[in-house]
This record gives sequence, structure tokens and C-alpha cells, in this order.
Amino acid sequence: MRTRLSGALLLAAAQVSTLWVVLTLLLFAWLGRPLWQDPAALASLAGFSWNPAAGQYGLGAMFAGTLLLSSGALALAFPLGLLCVLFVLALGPRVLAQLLRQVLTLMAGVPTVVYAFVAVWLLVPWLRDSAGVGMGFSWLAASLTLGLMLVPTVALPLIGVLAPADASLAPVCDALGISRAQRLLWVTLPAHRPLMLSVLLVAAGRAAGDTLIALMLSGNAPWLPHSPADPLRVLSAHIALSLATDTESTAYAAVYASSLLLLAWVSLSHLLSRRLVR
Amino acid sequence: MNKHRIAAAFAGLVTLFAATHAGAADIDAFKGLSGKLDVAGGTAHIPVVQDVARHVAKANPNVRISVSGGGSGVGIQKVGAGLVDIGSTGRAPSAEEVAKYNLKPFQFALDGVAVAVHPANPVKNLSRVQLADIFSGRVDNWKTFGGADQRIHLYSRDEASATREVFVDKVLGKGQSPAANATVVASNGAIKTAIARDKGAIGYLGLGYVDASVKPVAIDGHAPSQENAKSGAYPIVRGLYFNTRGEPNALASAFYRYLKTGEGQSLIRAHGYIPAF
Amino acid sequence: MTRRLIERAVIAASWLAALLLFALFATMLAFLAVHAAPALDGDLLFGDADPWRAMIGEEMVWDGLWPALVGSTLLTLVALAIALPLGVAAGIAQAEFDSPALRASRAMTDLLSGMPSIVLGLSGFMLIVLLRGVWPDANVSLLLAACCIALLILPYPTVATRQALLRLPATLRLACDALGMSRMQAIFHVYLPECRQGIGAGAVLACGRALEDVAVILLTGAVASFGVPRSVFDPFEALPFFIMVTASEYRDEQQLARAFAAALLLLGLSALLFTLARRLQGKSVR
Repeated sequence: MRTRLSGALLLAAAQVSTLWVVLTLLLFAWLGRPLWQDPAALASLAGFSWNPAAGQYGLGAMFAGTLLLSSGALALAFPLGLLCVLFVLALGPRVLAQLLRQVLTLMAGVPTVVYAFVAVWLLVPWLRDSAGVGMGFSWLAASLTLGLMLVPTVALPLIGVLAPADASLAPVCDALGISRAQRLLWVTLPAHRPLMLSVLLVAAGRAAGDTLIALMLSGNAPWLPHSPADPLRVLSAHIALSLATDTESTAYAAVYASSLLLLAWVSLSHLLSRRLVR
Repeated sequence: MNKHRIAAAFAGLVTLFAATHAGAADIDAFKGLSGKLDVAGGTAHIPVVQDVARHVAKANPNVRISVSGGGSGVGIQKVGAGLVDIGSTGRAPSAEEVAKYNLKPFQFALDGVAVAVHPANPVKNLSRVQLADIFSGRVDNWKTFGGADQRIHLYSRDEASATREVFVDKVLGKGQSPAANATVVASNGAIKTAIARDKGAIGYLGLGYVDASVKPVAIDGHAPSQENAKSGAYPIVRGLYFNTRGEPNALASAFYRYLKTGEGQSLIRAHGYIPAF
Repeated sequence: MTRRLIERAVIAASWLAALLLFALFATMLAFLAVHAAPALDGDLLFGDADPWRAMIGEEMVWDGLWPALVGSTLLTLVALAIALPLGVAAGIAQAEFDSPALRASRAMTDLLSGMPSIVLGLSGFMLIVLLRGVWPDANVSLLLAACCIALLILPYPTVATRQALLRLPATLRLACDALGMSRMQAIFHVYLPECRQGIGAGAVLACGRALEDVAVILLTGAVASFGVPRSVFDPFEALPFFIMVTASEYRDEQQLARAFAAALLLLGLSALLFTLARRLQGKSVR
């Protein structure tokens, strides 16, 4: 009896996420009505021009912005995170490795708003005045900051899982005369590809969903950037910005469309990567 | 909820009779009241309400005022749903919003919109035509206006910003937008931080936010000051509003009454806004 | 020999990465400390209120970060108290059982982990707005914010538990079976203790995330001034929210300094929570 009850509880717990995702989808689909009921506005959604005053509600630029910023940030965070994992588990001296692990843990608790805040004061002026990158607030500035913010998201779960796994391989590898670095690089890591993918996905989700770094650093221009030095606007920042709009307007309804689009993108990327891993 | 309020007000009345303090201070607007007053919405009002909350708490600990942000739209939605007593907006609520939620707007202050540049920039005055040239991207070097040979970096606000709406209406003309490559920042504080660190910068922000880190420029010879904004000589001004659903309740009206007193007005002024009474 | 070369390169790169991270983190700390310095005095936490009276809730704190500090801590603890058991349970179900519904829930957990915090906050907020139609006392509060944060961090313990369980050696499962343990006994007395480290890492990440998020609490109950909440149905102040509001609304350098000080305080708080978590983890090791 007790077994059956705890089994049922476990299964119920597993469905909380399902429940919430479905609820959110239904809620937003319902709240977005003003937009779905306006054919002209609906048709403009897929475009690249966001100008509510002219009845244009194109989310194309913001969607592209989300893709560009996420990929920029992940391109930095994933290799950097992986290298940190290697350093902590095998390559670094014990003291430094422990220190790095603690720094990573601490970094996970630094609010994104603090990263963004510091970057506005240090990174942006540096990019503009020393590196000569446009006005500073840009795809590049946001990518670098977001990338740094994501390093612990990549590294910590990998460390948590790989440390015991790596240790369990130690006796065999020692007997074969394989060094710690070699063991990690050629045995442990390749054995955990699915894990790395899932970590990458979590990081990608955070990259797409982060609001404050994008809002404070990307420059938020609702257009397609021509280079990393240009500003761009991402969906999450667009949602935050639009929350100030007239709540009865079509532009406000576009908040829900943006949310749905963002969710659609996240699920699509999950589906795609699942296919790839098979 | 209402029953609680009435009971609380009654309890407050008892306290009123028990009160020994008899001087007629401005804060007496809250005398005898008790309960919670929740305010939410645009962020511009936060410091003002916070100050009121502090004064009230000292004079009458039975009244607790909470202040929250989120944006003007959130404020309207929250007050519309009854989650808060007052929704604050940095713009007048739209006719649709007023109709849907039976809103009663109360304009408590005016906020001048200042145009600011980096403190090292020698430019002191710009005409509205020059501003239009700058913000539409037609002129892109400070040399044109007697400044250094330096590219002009435009800082603007998002489409939902009331500050931007007023600025665009008065400078570029209704329905126009600033140049597409302008950096868009999300708040008055953020635009100030950005301008203070960029030699080529120009942007616009609420007058109350201007401090020594940025330099405001005169427009058509009129310096952006509270006096000029009030007299109408300075052209770019927006209103700040509190909105209640239906008539304001006892605490909300006490809050309004207090804002209208000398003490209330000086609080509004202390944060750089112009009392609208 | 290419492998040798790759190894060398990776070692060099990992040193570079580690040093880069140290340097960036140190820069950030130094920057925060320098800018927070003007605000780092006895009044930082309690302003002009009496610390002792403020701590027992007798006096309201106006110019101090105390209410925000308490608010952030409470929020994180309540959210963790909801998300940890729920996430571990979900992770067990997803790893140890199989059914179409569970496979769907795995995908949904991934989806939830990708749900942007602002979207989560917005849906929590709109839900309360709608809920008021049937239950007029429903309001944004510490509880609502904690529930939304719990949903935000739920994927961390879930995924960590699932992954850790899936990687248990087959011999362990065989041993449990051979000893005649029921599945539940094996899960709760053997498998879970074995997965401590993985789950702990997930919990730490979740903790950090709960502590730092702004977008969720912005819409679900955080306020700029209210004082220490007296129950979970009160609104609350929070450090990251204070930082955000100050960054967007500051009037002078002194206010800005307090935002930087709040950032330092938040860092200290997360360091404290992490140490605590590690202690607890250590204690359960026999």
C-alpha cells in the first residue's frame, strides 16, 4: 500500500512540469486573442518590422535576435565551461581546482542583473573606446556577458556527474598506465555525450530566456544586425519592454505571441537535438 | 476585504480619539486610518511613494504602504484586477483602459524630458530642428554643432516608453521614429549610465534623473528646469498618474490629499518632478 | 602523436580558461567593492533604525537592506522547500519507471528548463489575475513568487536526479535485487544516497538561480518597500529586485553605491547558502 502510494506520488511529481507548460500555453493562447482576431496584425507578425504606431507587429527581428545572441553566448560558454571542468577534475593543481570549483559555484549565485550592471560600466566603454566596436551596446557585448554568466550552468552539472564517474574509471585506467588527463579526455568525456547535450540544452534555454543581460546590454534596436558590433533585440527583452504598453492594445497582446514564439523555439531546439543525438 | 477595511477604519477612529498629538500637520491626512495601501506600476513613482510611506509609518504605524514596479501596463492590470489599490503610470491611461477597468486617473506630477550629453561635450544649446536632424540620423557628427570631430551616438527608449512618446511627438513629429540604429535602453537610470560613459552620446531622460554625471542641453534657448517646464517655456513634458479602479478608497484619498499638501508637494519636488496641482 | 598534441593544447587551454575566469571574477569583485565602498558602513543593513528592534520586527527599516536580505533568503528557502522534494521525486519517476506519460514529462521538464523567467512570471501573474475571479483574496505574495521560482528551478533537481540514477552501475541494481529489496527500498535506501553528489550539484544550481532571479518576482510579489514580510501572503523585498530598481531609477551616486553594496551582500548570501548546503551534504556522508 505504502509502496503504491509513494509510486503514485512520484508519478504525480513528474507531471508537474507537464501541467505547468500546458497551462501556460493555453493561458497565453487565450490572452493573445486581440492579436489572433485582427487579420492585418496577425499577418504582420512574421515580418521584420516592429512599429505598433503603424500597425506592424513583426517579431522576425526579435526572433532572429534571440537566435543570434544565444548562439553567440553558447559559443563562448560551452568551450569555456568544458575547459573549466577539465581543469577542476584533472588538469589543474588540487588547490586551484578546488578554488575554481568554488568560484564557479559562487558565480551561479550572482544575479544576471549584477553581470549586466558591471558589464555596462566596464565592458561597454571598453568595447567602444578601446576595441572600437560601434557604440558598445551590441550583440557582442551581450554575448560576452551572457556567455560568462552561463559558464557555471555548463560546468557545475558536468563536474557533479563526471567526478564520481571519472573516479570509478580510475583503477582500470591506472592499471593501463593512462594519465588523469588522458582518462578524462578520451574515456570519461566521450562516454557522457548525452549528458553534455542535456547540459548544453539547459544552457541554451537560459540563454534564450535571459532577460536582464539582453535588456541592459544588447542595445534593443528592433532590426536585423549587420555585424556583432550592431545592437539587436531579443524576444525576452521585447516582452519586458512591452509590459509598459497600453494593456488593451494589440502591441500588448504581442507580448503573449512573443512568449509563445520563445517557447516554440525552445521546444523545437529540444526536438532537433534529440533527433541529432540518436 | 471591504469588511476588514471598515473594521480597520473603525479601529483607527478609536485610535484617533486616543491620540494625544493634536497639532495640525500635513501628515494628518492619514490620521485615524489604518490598513494597507498597495501601489504598483511604472518605476518613476517609486521614490515618491517610498518617501510618503516612510513619513506615514512614522506618524501612523497602522498604515502600511507597499510600492512595486513592473511597468505602466502592469500597474493598470494590477489595479484593474484589484491586486493593488493604485496603479501608477508614466502616461495617461488610454480611453480603452479607462473604460474597461473604470479607472479614475489622478495626475500628481509633471516630468520634464531633458536632452542630455556627455559632460565633456561643449554643445550647450540645440534647436528642435537640430534635434530632429540628430535623432533621425541625418546628422551624425558633433562637428556640425561646434563639438569635437566625434560620431554622434544616439540613445533612445523603447516604443512603450512614455518618455519616448513625448520626446518623439515634440521633436520628430507624431508617428515618426528615431533612427533604427539608435541604442535602445530600458530606463531613465540606464540611459544616464550610458550617456555618462560615452563621449559621443546624446539621449533623453526624465528631468528628475539628471545629475552631475550628464549634461543637459537647452532646447531653443530654454534650459530644462522645473520652472521652465511648469511655465511651458520648456516644451517637452509628460504627466505622471496614479489610477484607482472606481473612486479612490479612504487610504488612497488620504494619500492624494497628502500629496497636495505643502509637505507632499515638496516630496514630489525633491525627486525632480513638478507637482501638478 | 596528434593525440599528444591535442592533450597538450587542451591542458594549455584549460589553464587559460581557469585563469580567465579567476581574473574576470576578481575584476568583478574588485569593481563591486570599489563602487560599494561609500555605502559600506554601519547603516547599510538597518539605516537609521535600531538593529535589534528591526530584527525582531518592532521597527520598520527604511534606508537599509535588511528587509531585502530577509526577503531574498525566505524566498529562496520556500522555493527550495517546494522544488527539491518535487524535483527529486520527478527525477526518480523519470529514471526508474517508464510509460508514455513519463516520456512526455521528460520532454516537458526540458521545456520547462527552457521557459524564460519573464514568461514564467507573466503566467504566474496572469493566473492570479484570473484566479481572483473565483477567489477574491488571491494576490501576489511571497508564496506566489516562491511557487513560480520553484517552477523555474524545478528542472535542476529533476534532471540532476534523473541523470545520476541513470548512471548508477548495473552491479548496484543487481546487488539490491539479489538482496530481495523492493524497488522503493532500493531507490530510497541505496540508489538515492549513492546519487547525493549529483543531486547536490543540482540543488546548488537551483539555489543560486532562486536567489538571483528578478524577472519572475518582478511580477509576482516583489516590492520596492514594505519591510520584512510577516507571513507568506505578504509582499516582500528582495536584493536582486532592489539592484534592478536602483539601476533603472537611481538619482545620485550614493544610491548607486547601495545597489553595488546590495550586489556584494547577495554574493555573500549565496556563498553562505552554498557553504551550508555543502555542510549538509557532508553530514549525510557516513
